[in-house]
Parts: sequence; C-alpha cells; structure tokens
Amino acid sequence: MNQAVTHSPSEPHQDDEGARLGMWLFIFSELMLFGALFVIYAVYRASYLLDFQAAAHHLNLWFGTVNTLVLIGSSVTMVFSVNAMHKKDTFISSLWLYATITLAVVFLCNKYLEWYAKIRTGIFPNSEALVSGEKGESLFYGLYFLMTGLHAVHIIGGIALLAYAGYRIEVEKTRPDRMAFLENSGLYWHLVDLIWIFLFPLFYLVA
Amino acid sequence: MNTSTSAVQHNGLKTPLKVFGVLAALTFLTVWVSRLYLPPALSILAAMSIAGVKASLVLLFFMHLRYSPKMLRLLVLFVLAVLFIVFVLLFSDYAFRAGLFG
Repeated sequence: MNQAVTHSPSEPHQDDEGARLGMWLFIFSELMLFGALFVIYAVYRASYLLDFQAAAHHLNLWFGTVNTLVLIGSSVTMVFSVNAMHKKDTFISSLWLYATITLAVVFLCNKYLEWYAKIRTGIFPNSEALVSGEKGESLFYGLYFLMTGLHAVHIIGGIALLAYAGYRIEVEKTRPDRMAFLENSGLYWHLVDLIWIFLFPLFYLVA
Repeated sequence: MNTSTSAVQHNGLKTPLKVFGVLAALTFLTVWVSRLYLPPALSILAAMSIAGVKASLVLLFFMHLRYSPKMLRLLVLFVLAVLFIVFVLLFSDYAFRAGLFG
C-alpha cells in the first residue's frame, strides 16, 4: 500500500489527539520556564521601581510596537496555513507557511537593530555603563537581554521548525490527512506570540 | 474521511482577520494607556489586563481552544491556575520578607 499516492488515512499508529496533547504538555513546561523569569522580573521591579522606570525609558517603543504587530501578523498567517491544509489546499498552505517564516525573520531583524543600538551605546550585561550606574537599571537590562534573548532563541527554533514543516509538505509527509506536525508547529508558533504579548508591556511600557 | 480529530474545522479567513484586528487595536490601546502616566500600580494592572485579554484571544482562537475538547480546555485552565498560585505565593513570600509592604 502506497500511502503517499493513495493518501490513505489508515496509518495504524496515527494518533493526532495524542500528538496534540504531547505538544500542549511541552507548552506547559515552556510556560513554567518563562513564568519563573516573570517572577524574577516582578520581584526586582517591586524592589527597584524607579530604576526600572528610568531604564525602560531608554527602550525604543517603536521597535517593540512594530515587532508586536509583526508577531501577531505571523500568528495569523500560521492560522491561514493550517486552515488551507484543512481545506486540502497544500500549495496555499505552504505559501502561508513561508509568509510566517518571512515575518519571523523580519521580527529577528528588528530585534537585531534594537539590540545593536543598545549595545553600541554601551548597554549590555556587565557593561561599564551599567555596572557603574544604578543597580536597578543594571537588573532591568539584564532581564531585558535575558528574556528577549530567550524569546529570540525560541523564534530561531520556530523558524527551523516551520522550515522543516515546509519541507514535510514538499515531500508529502505532511498532507491533509496527516497534519499533526503542521498543527503542532502552529501551536508552538502561537506560544512564542503569547510570551511576547507579556514581554512587550513589561519592558516597553513601564517607563 | 477526515482523520484529524481536531473536531470542527474553521477554515474561514474572516475570524482570524477579525481577531488580528482586535489584537492590533489592543496593542495600540496598551501603548496609549502607558502614555497616560498613571500611577505605577494602576499602569501595570492596566497593561497586564490588556495583555491577559490578548493572550486569551490567542489561546481561544489561534490555538483553537475554543474548538477543543473540554478536557484540554480544563487542562490549560488548571495549568494557568497553578502558575497563578505559584506567582502569588512566591511573590507574597518575597514581598513580606523584604518588607516591601511595610
């Protein structure tokens, strides 16, 4: 029986429900990972409120806002990709998938420019300017680089994941009757969006 | 036959676009509120409330919880509750040790 040609759904071990549940368990562990960082942020913000406000003042609100919109947009294109696959429109599905990857790259470029601007003015973990300045500002930027950096690592991982999903569509490993991988990649991508939704106000809007 | 048990299929472009519109509007709203320079406690409360609404929309519509089995929805709710309890316990412990609240 040739699965790829007949598109037979009768894979003996196919369990989309189980695959989705597994993905959610992974998402829960990610929530705990970032949750711990949010607690650290909350404690230091409470201890150094004025320093945090002063430090946040130096972050570029435009970068943050544009990147928020880019990431939300990429979530929508990801939804379109999964929906197209549901409609058995494989080609359109991969197009939306590549659109998602493009937006992810745009996000990273923005992040690069933003970090570059900060690092050029001597603001990076353990830099001269931060070490000699207020302790709270140093903590704020330490958390800023750690949390947005960890988030950026997730974006990079996401790009790799989505690219692999695109490859799977090309070789018909992912197709309308076997789309758990694409759906789970989508779930991961929305998680990255979800985390950014909280990072954005905490770093850019507390000035 | 459709093997994907993701229950109902929601193939429209309309709903995701509407959700995108609301999310974008909320993004601008939260930026606008932050420029009002409210007292810190109120400002962070407003920002976190708006972020909470945005997160719920992403969970419900983009992550399909709205169309998911009840079991999964309860599971997510449970995990969020655990996260919340951990936040409250940890933060209150720290705050009273450090004497932040007098």
